[in-house]
Amino acid sequence: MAINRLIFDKIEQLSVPPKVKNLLKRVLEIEEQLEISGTKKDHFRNYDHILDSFAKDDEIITFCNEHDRSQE
Amino acid sequence: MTDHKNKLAISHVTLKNFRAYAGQIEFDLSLDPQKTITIIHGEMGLGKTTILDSIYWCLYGKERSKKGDMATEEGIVNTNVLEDLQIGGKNETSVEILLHDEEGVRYKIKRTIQFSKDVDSVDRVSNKSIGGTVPSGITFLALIEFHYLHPQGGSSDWQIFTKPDKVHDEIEKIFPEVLSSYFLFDAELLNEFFYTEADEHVKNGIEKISGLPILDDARDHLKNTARQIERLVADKEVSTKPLADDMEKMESAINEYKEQREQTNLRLEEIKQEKKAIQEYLRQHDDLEINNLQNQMDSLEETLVQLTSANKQNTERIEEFLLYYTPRMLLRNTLSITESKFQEWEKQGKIPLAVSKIALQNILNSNPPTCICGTILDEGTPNREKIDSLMSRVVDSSLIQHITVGRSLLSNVLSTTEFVKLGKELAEIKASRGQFNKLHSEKKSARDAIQKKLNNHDLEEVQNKTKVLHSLEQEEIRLYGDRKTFEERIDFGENELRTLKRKFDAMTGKSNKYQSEQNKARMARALSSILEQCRKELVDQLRILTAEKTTKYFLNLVSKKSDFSKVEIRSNYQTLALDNNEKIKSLSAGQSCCLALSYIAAIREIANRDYFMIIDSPLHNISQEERVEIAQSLPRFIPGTQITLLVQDQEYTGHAQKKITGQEIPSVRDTLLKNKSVWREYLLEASKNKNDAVSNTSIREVKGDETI
Repeated sequence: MAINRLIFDKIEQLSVPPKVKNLLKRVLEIEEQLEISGTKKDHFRNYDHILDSFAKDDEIITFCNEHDRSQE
Repeated sequence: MTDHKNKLAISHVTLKNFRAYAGQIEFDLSLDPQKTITIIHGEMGLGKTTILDSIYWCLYGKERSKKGDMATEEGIVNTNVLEDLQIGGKNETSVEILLHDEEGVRYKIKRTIQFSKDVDSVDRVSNKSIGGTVPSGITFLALIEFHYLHPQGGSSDWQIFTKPDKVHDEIEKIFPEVLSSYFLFDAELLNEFFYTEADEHVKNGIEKISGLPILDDARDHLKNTARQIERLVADKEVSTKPLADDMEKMESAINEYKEQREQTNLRLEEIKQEKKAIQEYLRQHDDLEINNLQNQMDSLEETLVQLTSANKQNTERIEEFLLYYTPRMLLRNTLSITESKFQEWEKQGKIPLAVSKIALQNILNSNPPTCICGTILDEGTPNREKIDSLMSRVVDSSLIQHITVGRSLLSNVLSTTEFVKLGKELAEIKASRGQFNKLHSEKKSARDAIQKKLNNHDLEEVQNKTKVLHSLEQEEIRLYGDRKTFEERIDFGENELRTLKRKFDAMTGKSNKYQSEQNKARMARALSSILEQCRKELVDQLRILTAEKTTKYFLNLVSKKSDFSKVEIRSNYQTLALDNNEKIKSLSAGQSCCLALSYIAAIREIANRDYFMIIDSPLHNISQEERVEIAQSLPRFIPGTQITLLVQDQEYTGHAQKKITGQEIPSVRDTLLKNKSVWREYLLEASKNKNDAVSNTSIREVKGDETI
């Protein structure tokens, strides 16, 4: 099932940095690919890989740390 | 890679040896943007539903399941073709569909099962790929072709895919299986929407069509990823392993409580709606008022009984008058008149004297006739003439007695006093009867009015609903308590989890070698949390959007649109049509059908897929009048969308009469042909074998002026 544009529209409305929005969209695209190919068991490997790509981005790290703390 | 198109229609279908169809049949479907409807009709059991199933099989390589049932006993390969196969013989079953978008032909999909007979065998084996059981000794080979014509390519520039996985991916992009029931569906599904499992269907429809399952999966996978990363770190650091275990258990427990809280909230919402409905009912059917009316009714009934009893006494008295007194009164009147006459005649001297006729006769019989005074009474003498005249006027003493008796009878029949008394009594009875009639009529009218009010109430139902309301209130209190418990446990769990995390972070943070993993885990959790928030907001947004679009289609399709204001989809996904006062309106079978079709059209619009719609027996369970109303509205329902109806003869060509007026209700066929919305009609026809059993089904086009 293709990601409905409504989900992407909603992500665009979020009050988060653009890099985080792109990361969210990227995550959803990965999820869609996994669903279509029927290989959802590989989700950890794929997600770990994408998180690795952004793990050194200070802006994203700072945002996520602050978000995590605000949830506590 | 193919592109997803928003508008697709099937232009041509070819079936070969598929279920009821031995040999090959093919037909076209409408690409006309004005005349969008194609009809395929036939008697029950000839293979209309098979056409729907064949298209589904062509797209997805499996049988269309109904209510989650396993594939039918009968497989997809025509049984006769299979049984007639000789050793060394080959044949195939296939379905091919050609699809157009706005620009022209775009896809061709052909799915084939080739089969050959190697040995003769009476044994039968189950075959999951084609369904049912088949003779052993036959081998099967499944093939698929997916042809794609790129819009920028030439007319022969087709890309062809034959690998099953690749074809599956391409088809899933264009026709996601989760959406299939929004372009290939039947009356059974329409019924399910609004008679049994409506809420679940609507929930699934809204969430799946929006792609929310992808969002849910991404959210959950991110959370799992965070957990796994922390796990990996913990495994490396033995000292943190127990902490990681505890964190995992705590998270699991928190999720469970959240799930239970969610279920409780849903049930509380349901209870709220149920209570509202019952309270509305009770407001309209107040039991105090009902009891009051009932008491008044009983009192009036008693009064009527008393009046009737009193009137009965009057009636008996009247009967007595009629049978006894009235004849005497009439006789008295008659004799009274007679007495007056006698008195008058006496004065006039017409009453005969009380002289004995025998005495006079003796005088006349004496020889010579001599009067008692000694006068000779010879014939012709004046005295004799006087005596003769007297003789004619004298009556027998017996008659005198009778007259005397008669005259005394008068006074014996009725005394004046009694006569006057009876006259008064009769007048009273007449007056009383008049009063009775008037009073009886008044009381009866009052009783009937109350009965009419009572008929609108049902005391037993009120009492039942009051009990149900009480029970719901008890359940509500209990659920509020449960929810509070869940929330307390979630709060406690989350506090504990935060404490454990801080300890974990403190332990792992002591060395920077796990900094990267910590960052990733934190990122994953943050992203998961953001997606959760997104989801909550989206669900409400989509629910409201679906309701708005369903309203739009519904008011276009339903006949009595002025009775409705809108369609509402509640937070528990209950789908309701509201009247102009925003009260829930109960729907007829036809209106429910319209609502289901409207919901389907709304979902299709939100999913941005204006694809073909093939509907099996859509008008099956509704009245003829409503069928015709829907047929009249169908052309403007979703203009420009290809609609193919698979209908039974009775549903399509049947007529009826209105019960009260006897007015003829036309057939659906006549209605559709009249509003010129049908592009083509096809008729399924059966050929029968020597045992008069249906051996094969064929299809032919019906000419425009043909009577069927």
